[in-house]
Amino acid sequence: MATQSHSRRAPDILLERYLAGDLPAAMAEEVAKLIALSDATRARLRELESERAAFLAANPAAPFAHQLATRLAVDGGAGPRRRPWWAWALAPALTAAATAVVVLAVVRQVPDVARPLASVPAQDLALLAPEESATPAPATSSRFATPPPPTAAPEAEAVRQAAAEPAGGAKPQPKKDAPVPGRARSKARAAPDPGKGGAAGGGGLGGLGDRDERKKAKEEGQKTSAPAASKRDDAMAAPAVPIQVADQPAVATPPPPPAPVAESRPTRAPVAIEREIAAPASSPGAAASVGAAAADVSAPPADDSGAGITAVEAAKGRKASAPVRPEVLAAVRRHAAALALCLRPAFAAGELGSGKYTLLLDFVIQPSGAVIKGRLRGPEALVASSARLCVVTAMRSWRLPPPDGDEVVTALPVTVAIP
Amino acid sequence: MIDEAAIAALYERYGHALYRRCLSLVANPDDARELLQEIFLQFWRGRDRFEGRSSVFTYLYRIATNKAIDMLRRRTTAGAVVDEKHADERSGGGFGAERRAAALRELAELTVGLDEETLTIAVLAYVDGMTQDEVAAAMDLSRRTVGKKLKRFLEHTRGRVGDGLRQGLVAQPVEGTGTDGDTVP
Repeated sequence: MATQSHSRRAPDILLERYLAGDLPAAMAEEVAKLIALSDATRARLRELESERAAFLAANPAAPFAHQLATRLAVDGGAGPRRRPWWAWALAPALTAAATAVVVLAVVRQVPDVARPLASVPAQDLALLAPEESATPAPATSSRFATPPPPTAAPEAEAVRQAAAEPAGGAKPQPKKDAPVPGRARSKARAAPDPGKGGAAGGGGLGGLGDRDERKKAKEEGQKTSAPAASKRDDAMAAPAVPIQVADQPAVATPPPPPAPVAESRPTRAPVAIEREIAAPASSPGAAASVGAAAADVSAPPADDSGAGITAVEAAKGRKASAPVRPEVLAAVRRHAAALALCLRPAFAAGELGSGKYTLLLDFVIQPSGAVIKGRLRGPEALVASSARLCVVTAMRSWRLPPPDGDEVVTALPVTVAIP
Repeated sequence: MIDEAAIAALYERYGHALYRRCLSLVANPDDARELLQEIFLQFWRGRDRFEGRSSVFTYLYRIATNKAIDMLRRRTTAGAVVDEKHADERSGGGFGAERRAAALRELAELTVGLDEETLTIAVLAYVDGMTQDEVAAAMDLSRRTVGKKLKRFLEHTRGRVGDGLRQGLVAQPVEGTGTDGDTVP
């Protein structure tokens, strides 16, 4: 027995178990005797007690539990699940099949997709012009050249990505035209299941531990596959309130002054699309522009009839002198659900009203991928609320795709809605 | 649904002890705090598999030891950062910081693939300097089981034990080996 010799004080582990009330009765009795007999053990017990009190004061339980719950919610509560062997074999085939279905469905409903550029109406041409001018490919003819990959809800994701993904490389060209009726119908079909459609629209609601962040970000860059999407679906099931997330406009620095016509229109379509996904048929205010949404955070849209907090997509690919890397955007998107969760307590406490909030986040990505200097820049209502600490704490736990050197991200908008 | 209150209760009860355990092994407060999160994450995810055959404390303690040693393995300078202040947060045994750091370095390298319980017992005995009686009492095991586990540890590490652990092994002869440390190569 460890407590036989009183010349040797009881090991810390026994005293810690004693303090935690974890020892079996007989052992606890022996330790109690030893404490009574041994000055050294008694002194050590007092030390441990005061250390424990100081530790809990400096590291309180509630934030720890909240942070852990947030991580568990994002990770789906279950441990990291391995992709089954058949998923590896079937993923390419399923991806191809789903993509073909999506492309066929959209093409059939968008008769002008193969129309020559010259025949595109003037208003559509205006939409083609803006931000991706650096990518000269004609958007209308090339937008389906590289079909978007399927995720949890292939159609919704395909529409969202086609509308919001920045141009570049082999990625699908962003749609720059306003939603056409046929496409709207296809989006509306994706809407009825907010849990799935929203998650897919979010480009990933987590399902991602920090360890997997780099790998997942890489996968995101290479187009997400079906098992990953199902993981996100599981993550969606964890919170009591369904959350829908979509990707975000991202700039490393504030965007340049908008070009009159070309700036606002292309960002309009994704918002409308997202609203159709998030709040199906009853979305009368779906025409608000991203600029308005970002600026008018205190004026919630009249739509969003769904229940629960909804992280809403804005737009992507805004012009900026140093745009945020797509893989960073993808990674931040995966964390958006956790940010949305941060608003729940503040909402429940009455600190925040319902509506849409565009969080403006500042942070620095270190070469290791760790996030430091996280800051919630706006909106004021959120900065002043208890959600701020949660948001900042959540950002600290992020692991983003590592840059070569410190990468400063300023005012990255992440829009979250409380219906 | 994730029960934050339950997590908070677990943390209040065991958090400090686990933090100390991690700190004593990795010797870096930030790493120890990170490990604390990982420990509770693992516990929460695997709570359905917890059968109650050991106490929650010893279950968490094993996770903590395993994760801390795993972190040491990942460090290129495993154990080199152990400083006097944190390293001396040992259990009642009598190993100094230097010896402890050396033992940790070796142990981290030698115990790849070893099960959590055996690893924990080996650390308690050969790094923390606890007697087998103390280890048995601390982990709710019989002394015989502790002896068997240490024997398994020796078999696992046979031929590869260096000076750092050798001193600990000599100081902690394993029962059932029929020797007083001469199983150490």
